[in-house]
Order: sequence, then C-alpha cells, then structure tokens
Amino acid sequence: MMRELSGESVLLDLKSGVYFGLNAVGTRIWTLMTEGGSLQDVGRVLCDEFEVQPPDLHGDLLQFASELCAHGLCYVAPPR
Amino acid sequence: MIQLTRRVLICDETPSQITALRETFDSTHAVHLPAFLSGDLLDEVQRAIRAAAFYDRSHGKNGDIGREECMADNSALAMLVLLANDTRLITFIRSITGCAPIGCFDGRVYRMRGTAGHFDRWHSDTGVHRLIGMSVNLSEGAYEGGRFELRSTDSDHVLWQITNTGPGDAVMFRISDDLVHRVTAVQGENARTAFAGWFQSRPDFLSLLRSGRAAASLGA
Repeated sequence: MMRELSGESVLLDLKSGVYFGLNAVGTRIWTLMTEGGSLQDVGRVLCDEFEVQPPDLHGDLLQFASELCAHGLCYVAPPR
Repeated sequence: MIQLTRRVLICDETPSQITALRETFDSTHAVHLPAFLSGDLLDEVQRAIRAAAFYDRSHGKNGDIGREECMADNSALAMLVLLANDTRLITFIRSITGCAPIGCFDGRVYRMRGTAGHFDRWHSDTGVHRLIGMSVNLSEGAYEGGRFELRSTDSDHVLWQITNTGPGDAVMFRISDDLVHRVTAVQGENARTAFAGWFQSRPDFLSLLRSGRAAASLGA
C-alpha cells in the first residue's frame, strides 16, 4: 500500500506492518514499476524525465529495485 | 460522502455539504461521519482485530482517567494510521473544522468491555499538539452504553453525545482546554472497539514515522 505525501511517499508492507519512506524519485520509480513495465522501461522513462544518461542511472535503479526486493516489496518476474 | 477505502479516499461532498458540516462542527464541536470506513476495509480490519493481541492500558496519573484494552501494533493498525494521514482527508478535516494546519494523525485501536471494568472519565486530551479527535467504530455488532459525550469544562451540560454504533462510522471532535469528553461504561457482552486518535499540528507524518511513535517504524 502506498500513499503520497507532498512529493514523498510512504510504502506500507502489509505483511510486516513496516513503513518505507520514498523520496520524490523513489516515488516516481515505484509508480512506473506498478504500471507493469520492465525495469528497462522504467529506466528509459526516467532518463527522459530527469535528462540523465542511461549509464548514470541504471546502477542506482538496480540498487533501488534490489532493496525493494530484499524487503519483499517487489520481486523479479520471469520474462513475458 | 467521505470514505476511506483500501485504494483511495472517496470525497464527494459538495461545497454546501461541507458548509453544513462546518456549521455543525462550529456549533457542537463535533460531527458524525457515517460509513467513514468502506465495508471491505472494515471487514479486513475486523478480521485482523480478531486475531490480534491486546494489552491492558491505563490513562492519566495513577490510571484515574481511563482503562481499556489496547491492540498491540500490527499491520492493520499501520494501515489505518497510513490511511488516516491521507493528504486529501487532512484537507477535508481542516475544511469542516477550521483547525490549524495538521501535521499528522496518530492513533490506536482499543476496546472497552463491560465485563472488564473498563472506563473513561471526563478529560480534555489537550497537549502534545492535538487539534481534532477522531474515533472510528470497529465494533462487531451493536454494544450497549459506550456513549461518547462532550461538554464544556466549566459546565455539567452535555453539548453533544452519540452512541456510535454504525459500522465504520466516525466521530470527529474538537480538542480544546474549554472542552472535555468521555465514553460512558459499556454494558452487556458486546465490546466497544474503536480506532481512535488525534489530528495533530506536529510532527509531520514522516517525522512521526521516523520517531518510531506511529504504529510501525519507517524501514528505509
């Protein structure tokens, strides 16, 4: 469950009852991820929106996704 | 209607309905909001409450204000606290109460049972930046007694009262040095269970989470 709060947002893990805070960029990434695209799709949108080069972004994006997975907030789906 | 659901806040009150609620609140210091929790959300919370652990809790110096059973922190409470901090809900609360800017809502789930000697005497709840009190009925079935009453500090005359037995209904009331409130003793077998707490001027919700005072702490 996610709620936006003035630019930032709070994710709630309904299994553990633990909240996770996301800054504005994290909120945007989470929103794009929940729209069902691949991480690559998310990266493409972010590169356009934030005017950054893919190599500068992909490491951070993968790390963010890894942290979400580590907390059980998302998982890696098999290719369609 | 103002209603919390799992996914969104439904707020389709017209300006004239909001004005009417504001006038009610201005004159009585309280309003009743029917079906504040959606049926699905209420069912989910009630299922969680059935499985939850509760502990005895006293209020006031030497426990002279009240005694109740309080639900131990769990994901259902965390969900309710998160939903109650919806920015649109906070805007709505300010529009019908005219209160100062709200930083966050913090609350608990508690129950009062007639067979356990639980009580709640007149008190104001002032302090720690509280502006507006809220109590949402989570009881399974109607209970007897358990009437919420509000009066001026310097008068015995009850200004507003309600036995809030509608499933998922909410009561909002003003917190002020000039007002006190209580819940009368519950009678009979059915417990009175509520999600109750306060809209506060501070801290903001993220700071509340970081402080670890809300239902669950901030994980990252």
